[in-house]
Amino acid sequence: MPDDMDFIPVPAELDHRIDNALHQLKREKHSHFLRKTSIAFASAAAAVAAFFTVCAANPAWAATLPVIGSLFRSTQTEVSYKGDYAKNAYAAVNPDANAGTAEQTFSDAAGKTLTVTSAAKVDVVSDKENDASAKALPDDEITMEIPEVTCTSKALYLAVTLTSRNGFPEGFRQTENEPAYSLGYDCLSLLSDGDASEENTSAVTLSADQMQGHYTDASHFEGIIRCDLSTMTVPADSFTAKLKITKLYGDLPDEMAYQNYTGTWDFTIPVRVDPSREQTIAVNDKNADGYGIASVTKTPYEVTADMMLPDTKQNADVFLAICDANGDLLEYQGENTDTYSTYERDTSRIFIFICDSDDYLNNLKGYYYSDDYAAKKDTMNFAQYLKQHALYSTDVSFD
Amino acid sequence: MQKKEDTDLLVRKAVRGNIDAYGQLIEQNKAYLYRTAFLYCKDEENAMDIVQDAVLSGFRNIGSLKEPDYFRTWLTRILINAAKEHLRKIVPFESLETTEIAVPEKGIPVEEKWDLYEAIDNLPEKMKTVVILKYFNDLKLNEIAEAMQIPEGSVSAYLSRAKMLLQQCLKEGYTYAR
Repeated sequence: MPDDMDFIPVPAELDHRIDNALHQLKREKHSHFLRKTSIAFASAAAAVAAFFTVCAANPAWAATLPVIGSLFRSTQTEVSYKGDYAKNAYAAVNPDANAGTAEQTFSDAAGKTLTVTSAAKVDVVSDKENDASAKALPDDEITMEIPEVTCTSKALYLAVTLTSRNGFPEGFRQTENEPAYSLGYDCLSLLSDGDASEENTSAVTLSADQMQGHYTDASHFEGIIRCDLSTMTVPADSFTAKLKITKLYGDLPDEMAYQNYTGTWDFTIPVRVDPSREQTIAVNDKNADGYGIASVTKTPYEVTADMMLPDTKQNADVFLAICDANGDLLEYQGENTDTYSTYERDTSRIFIFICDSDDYLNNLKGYYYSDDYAAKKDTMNFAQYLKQHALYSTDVSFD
Repeated sequence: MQKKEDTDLLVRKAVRGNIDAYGQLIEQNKAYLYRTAFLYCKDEENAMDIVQDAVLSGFRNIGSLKEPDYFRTWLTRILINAAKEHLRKIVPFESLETTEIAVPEKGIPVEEKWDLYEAIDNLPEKMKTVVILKYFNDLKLNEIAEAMQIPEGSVSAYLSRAKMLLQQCLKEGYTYAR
């Protein structure tokens, strides 16, 4: 009896199939996120459109903005993870002229900004064999810059610009080319080539799923990448981060075909963490069923809570919901549904709930997203409603 | 060689919804997944379809993974289900002549291996699964039980009966060939 399967050759095409599947998962995850937040964003679409109009009418406006924080300022409301990042931003500077890839250069204009130019093979990911819509595009050159950074203990935010030598294809410019698209920002899915051993080295290897923002013209994109740090062990004050992006995907399907750029954009980023504006409150409260909250952390951009669960339960079994001081549900921040944005909300006091996951997703959240919530809120806001149905609830006040 | 703690970290990240971490786990296991799928269907295209389905299904159901240590076993179960589902949809087809097989550097000749695979392929489904997981994927009995969600005793029973059937089948084939 053979003791291994090594003699069965693994076709090279398998990598493409796996890439296909992972990209589809990212699209699903992004769509799921958008579905949950679309109602809130729909109301903001008009404001975003107005912002675009102002930008288009005043092309010199951006040039007059201060250097530090200007990129964050122009994009921080055009992402799903909104925040006043410009306020706490600092310039990203290449730590060592000899570090990074051979292609990594200083940009005089931006003051030693992290810049990587990569030849980019333009490919098409298709769910169908011999897809007639798989249009061949000439190879391109994509320059990615990271001029600004801001970081909390929970997430690293990178302001990013992309420049395409040939111009981005239509499938990348969703706001421009998808009819009835209401979110007002564009999104590029990313494939980052991370290293699992970040906890064993001095550098923290980042993982990034997407960058959101807008195209200033056919060849230029500016946006923000949010890298979640909540599950990583990172130094408290400063660290070196590594981010290696190997694929950029457009989000607008062309008859099930997704265009993408394959290249290498490899960054070494010195990061400063500013904990002075963060607050962690120890709660350490648990009910008789074993559900509870250990602590709550609020940064300038987000708030999250550490849950305590019975031994028989996992995080996937429950849903953490957090409401603001007015009893309204906060928006999600980034890719995880246990982190909430504090942007333009009164979070001096928050209400925290642990709910059964299925119950929350199938039933409870419907109360908040119903058309008549504004009317229902007069008698019972969402926090009061959740308190009646949650497995556990508490509230916390911040200074 | 991937350290266990590195894999555990990736699994924890994947369970929390990190697709890149999940992708790295898939990268580590892709050859294993493909070869297992290939043994099920003996067709390159179908095997890649099965792996693709398993990758999608795995992430969508990763909340069901209880222990990081069992990631590979859990993923094997997903793959088995994907293979069964896929094979239900397709018309059985296999052409040994059109399948490119690398010549092994040592061991038994390819022709004899294919006799064996033909015999395994003709086993009842659960016996076939047990044999593939035991002798090709090198899973322990408890891991096979976990992957197939059947008692460990049943795994032993299937294995025992499968070996008897294989011996009988190969012996008959050998006699016939002579």
